[in-house]
Amino acid sequence: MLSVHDLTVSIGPETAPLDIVAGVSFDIAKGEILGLVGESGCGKSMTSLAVMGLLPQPGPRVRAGRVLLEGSDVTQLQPWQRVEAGHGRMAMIFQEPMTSLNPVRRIGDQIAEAVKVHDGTSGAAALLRARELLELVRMPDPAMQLSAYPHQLSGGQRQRVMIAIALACRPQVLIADEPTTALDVTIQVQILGLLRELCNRLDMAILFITHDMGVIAQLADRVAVMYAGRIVETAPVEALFDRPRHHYTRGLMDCMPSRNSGARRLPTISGQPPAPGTVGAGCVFASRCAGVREPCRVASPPRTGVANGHEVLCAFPLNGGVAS
Amino acid sequence: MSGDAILEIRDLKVSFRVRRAGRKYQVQAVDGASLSLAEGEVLGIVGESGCGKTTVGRSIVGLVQPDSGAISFRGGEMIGAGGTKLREMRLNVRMVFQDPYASLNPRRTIGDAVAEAGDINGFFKSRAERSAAISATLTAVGLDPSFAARYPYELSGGQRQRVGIARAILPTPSIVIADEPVSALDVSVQAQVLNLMMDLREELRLSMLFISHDLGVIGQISSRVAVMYMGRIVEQAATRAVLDQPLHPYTRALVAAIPKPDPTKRILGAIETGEPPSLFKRPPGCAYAARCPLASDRCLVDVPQLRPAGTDGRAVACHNV
Amino acid sequence: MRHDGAILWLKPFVARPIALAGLGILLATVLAAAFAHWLAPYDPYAIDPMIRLTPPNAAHWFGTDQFGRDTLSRVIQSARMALLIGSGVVVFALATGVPIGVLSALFPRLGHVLMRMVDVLMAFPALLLALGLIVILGPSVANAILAIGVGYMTTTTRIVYGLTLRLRAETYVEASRSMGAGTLWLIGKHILPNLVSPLLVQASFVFAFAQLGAASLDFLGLGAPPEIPSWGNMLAESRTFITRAPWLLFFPGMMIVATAFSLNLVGDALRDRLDPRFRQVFGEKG
Repeated sequence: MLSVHDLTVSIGPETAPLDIVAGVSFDIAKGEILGLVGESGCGKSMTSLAVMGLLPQPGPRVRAGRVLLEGSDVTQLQPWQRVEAGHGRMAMIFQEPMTSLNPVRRIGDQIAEAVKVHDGTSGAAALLRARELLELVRMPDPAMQLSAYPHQLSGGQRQRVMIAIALACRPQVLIADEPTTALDVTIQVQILGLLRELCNRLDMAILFITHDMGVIAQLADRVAVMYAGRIVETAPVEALFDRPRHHYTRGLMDCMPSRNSGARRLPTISGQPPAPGTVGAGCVFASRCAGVREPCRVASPPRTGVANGHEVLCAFPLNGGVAS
Repeated sequence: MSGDAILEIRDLKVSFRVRRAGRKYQVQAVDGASLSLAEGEVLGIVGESGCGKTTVGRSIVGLVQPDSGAISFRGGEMIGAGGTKLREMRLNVRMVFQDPYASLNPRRTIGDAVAEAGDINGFFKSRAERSAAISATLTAVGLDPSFAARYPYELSGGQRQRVGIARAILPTPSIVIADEPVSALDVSVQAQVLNLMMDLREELRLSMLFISHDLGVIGQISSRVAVMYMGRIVEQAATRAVLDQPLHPYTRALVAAIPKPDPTKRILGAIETGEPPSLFKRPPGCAYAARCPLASDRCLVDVPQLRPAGTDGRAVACHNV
Repeated sequence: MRHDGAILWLKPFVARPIALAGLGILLATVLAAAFAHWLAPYDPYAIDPMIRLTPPNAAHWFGTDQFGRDTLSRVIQSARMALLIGSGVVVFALATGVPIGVLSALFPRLGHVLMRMVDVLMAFPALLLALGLIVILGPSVANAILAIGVGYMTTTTRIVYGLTLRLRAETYVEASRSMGAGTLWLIGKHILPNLVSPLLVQASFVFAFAQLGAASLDFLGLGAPPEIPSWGNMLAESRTFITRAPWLLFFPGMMIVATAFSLNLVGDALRDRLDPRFRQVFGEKG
């Protein structure tokens, strides 16, 4: 459904570009959720904006690579141009729904507006569809909520409204950028459940971006781990949690408190991620890696397939937790 | 339990007046919470946003005025205290804030921030003593003493939070109130800062009130935990007991909803959690009744009180467990 | 790092030639005022009936007035009065507006009373307020400063009040309070240092508008005494000669426009410097 090849997003002048996303590739099939996980500044949000065709202007730009939607190249097209060219549809939801909703307009009107844009239907029909969408996102009492204002809803309900608006264009690909980070855990579990259900029912491809390994384990079918603008490991979710092959992935899992409760100290990853532009030759993770060897510092590591659908960007990948 | 308590909170009530759509509302942020913190203990307070956990912490350091109740430090009442007694308490009970970006003044150096409590209260006798103390404290939180001359914008989030911790331990207090100190940090940095807090607690023999929405973090650092819901404490017990065998239906939902980092144990669709009621419209009985699978008629009218349940000072506020 | 800070402050000027031009005009005015005695080719008070109302020529670049006084010398001399009034108004507006705004924000009850009084003053047009005060106090340079200053005291108070309310809610201010900081500590260490930059911008705008206010008062004969050269006085004296000797109005008029305009340019550049979005762009490049 969605296929990203060697995507490179850069800032700075043409002559000396700084790559904040460097050669990212992944595919998402219909009915599949790909979890893109990484820490702040690793380039995961930039990747999603580039895929969506929504990079802020002026600023970062796609310097190389392609984004294919159902086989059509949409890399340089804005979302509406993609729709006009008949290349299929993508929608996006964000972390803070309040900033994306108009505070002085009723929920129903805001959803209906999105419906009108995409379906070309008018007044009553659009409102009817808005109500269907609210039912689809399992909003309690949808008929009533059509006339509510955003501030009258809870954080979880607002996120449901955002999902409803995103669904108005009948997207084939939904990009969710940390949609549950601002929510309480009891609400988060509901929204995650909803996304899983919608993915299955509507046969959508979902790119789910998060920093939370727990959320990834709960929701994703496959996982891409991102570090310093690169995807360092891709694997089916069970394989990744069962046998992380990249030292960074392993480090991220180890330092989660919930995997360690009772331990006196948490394992940590020393140091900090490199700033864009400070990446020299060699592996981007070399300076923080527990299993670093001499070649890592001089040559970029190869992308190796270690098992079916399991790739790792490491010259000396972990083997079941022990360096090979 | 109260024999060796260093901090004791009894029946604390805090309310805020809020204006919404032209009407005035009274929001009861904390509705009769009682807690006691033993010497050297880390007590966690866990709950969702708006449950009043932060307000409890802010009441202790005097940032909000409680309506009623008592907060005593080493047996001395803190609410309404003044003069040298208040000064002593201020230096002894300190707070670490959530947002490492907002909690440092962009126009003041790191050194000034770290020394602020000492400067306010005339703690340093000379400039040399002051700068030595700043250096020692920065070193203690894992920062180079040269950071003293820098400004916050030059620091990463993790480094800023270390400064926030340094500010809370110079001069060394007895109690640190940590309000979501790692929530704004990345996982790998979060682990570093948690380790630092555990080390400092041991070295400086601090007692700690650790406020968080994240039971994983609470489970790591605290020995006992109080679960708050809509301004009340609904369960209080040893952390392990709460995580392994939650009693209150709300605690059970909270524990069940933690996204476990194990794809073979998926919970999506398996649990029903409901939405919390609005803070403006507090239900008459148990505030959790509308979401609770165990709720009976009694729960709708009668507010359950915290009562002992089992051993280890475990307590729970529910009619049905 | 302080060194870097200075460079950052200059950046918005370097990046925009028009702002740099504004800064240039401003500096020229200050220099003219400081060295008026040496710069002026003639004594600005010297009367010479032989050369009444000569148009600009090689000897008198800006021409002469109805008493034969050299216009260029008088324009240069007038820069003193312009800067005196401008800085006087800025000092007055800040000296009153900052304490009223800060205290009103920190003590809500007091603020309720003070800010309503400020609101009442703001309801009057600035010039009307100034005229009224001059009528009561009598015309003089000091009273002109006071009369114009009251109008800008209100806007300054409003700005300071709003900023302080926001600063008061900052986490670092709360952290300071939780450690027992008193009001004086909060004001001195946290609030005032964060007010400096926005007040610098406000000061440049007040200075610019004070020029216009002073010129208006002078023109109406309610500002500086007529014997002291000022651009407004020059306009007032020579307005009857507008058709016969337009240069008499042109040069002082130009100076009023130029100083007010350049101060606005400088103010804009300073405000951009303080806009976080703008700062980010520079941060990335630098």
